[in-house]
Amino acid sequence: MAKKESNLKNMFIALLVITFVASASLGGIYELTKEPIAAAKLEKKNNAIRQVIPEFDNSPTADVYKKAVDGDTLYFYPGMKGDEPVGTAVETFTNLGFSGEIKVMVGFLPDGTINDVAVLEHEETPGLGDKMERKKSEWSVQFQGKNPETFRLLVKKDGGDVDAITASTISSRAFCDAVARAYETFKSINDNK
Amino acid sequence: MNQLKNFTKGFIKENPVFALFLGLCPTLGVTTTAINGMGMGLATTFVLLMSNVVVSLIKNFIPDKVRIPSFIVIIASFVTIVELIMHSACLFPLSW
Repeated sequence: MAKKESNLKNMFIALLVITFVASASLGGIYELTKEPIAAAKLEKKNNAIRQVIPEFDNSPTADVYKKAVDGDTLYFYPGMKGDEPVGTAVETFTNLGFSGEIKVMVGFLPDGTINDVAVLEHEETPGLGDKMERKKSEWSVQFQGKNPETFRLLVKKDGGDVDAITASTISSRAFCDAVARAYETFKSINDNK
Repeated sequence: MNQLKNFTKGFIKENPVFALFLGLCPTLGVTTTAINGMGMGLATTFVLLMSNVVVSLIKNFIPDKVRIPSFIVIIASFVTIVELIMHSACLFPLSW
């Protein structure tokens, strides 16, 4: 079959058909995968919550409350065992990362001590900034059991108490910013109670 | 014989990841573990295979001047499809 001539009509029809088929198939696949993706995200969030606060028996994702800070939203997932609050997981963010937003889950005990931290999403450089993930390095262990009242959430270069990741001061600084934002908001909510 | 040769030279000699490496740097970046490398290899294979099949089927309907935009749309669609499916299957962490 001969090749179509490059006149306006042929080009128009070819592009129209291709983009239509592409968008239709993408839309169909998106609809099909929407539910599983949402379920996988929720599962990941639940795992992060389980990791950062002590054992609970309620459903923190159902009791979530929000607070708008610095042009974005922090999510608070309160964990309860019976009627006793065991801690709150705070989903926090920072825009100071080396590339793009970083989302961190920070678990606070009721007295404000950090129980544990977990990275949810980040775009940091593989091999450098991604050492903030627990599975890549033990760096974030240093936050465990620290109370930001006495533990200054700044890297040592900025006069704080946090050891930065080697060659990733910017990522470490951003991480501290996210944790500090979670703590400030957590504290202000608790003080108003 | 010739057809077999066409097929086998794709393994090493014209392997897209080894020989035509430019533009496939993500494969190198993502291959930090065997699982990641395997996933990237499967995704690359799927996208190259499907886009080549589709492009060769419709190349006679596409006027020369809009060839490149058409191919970009087709390839990008397959990449997005693979991404959605991978995320939904939870094979890989969503934090990529």
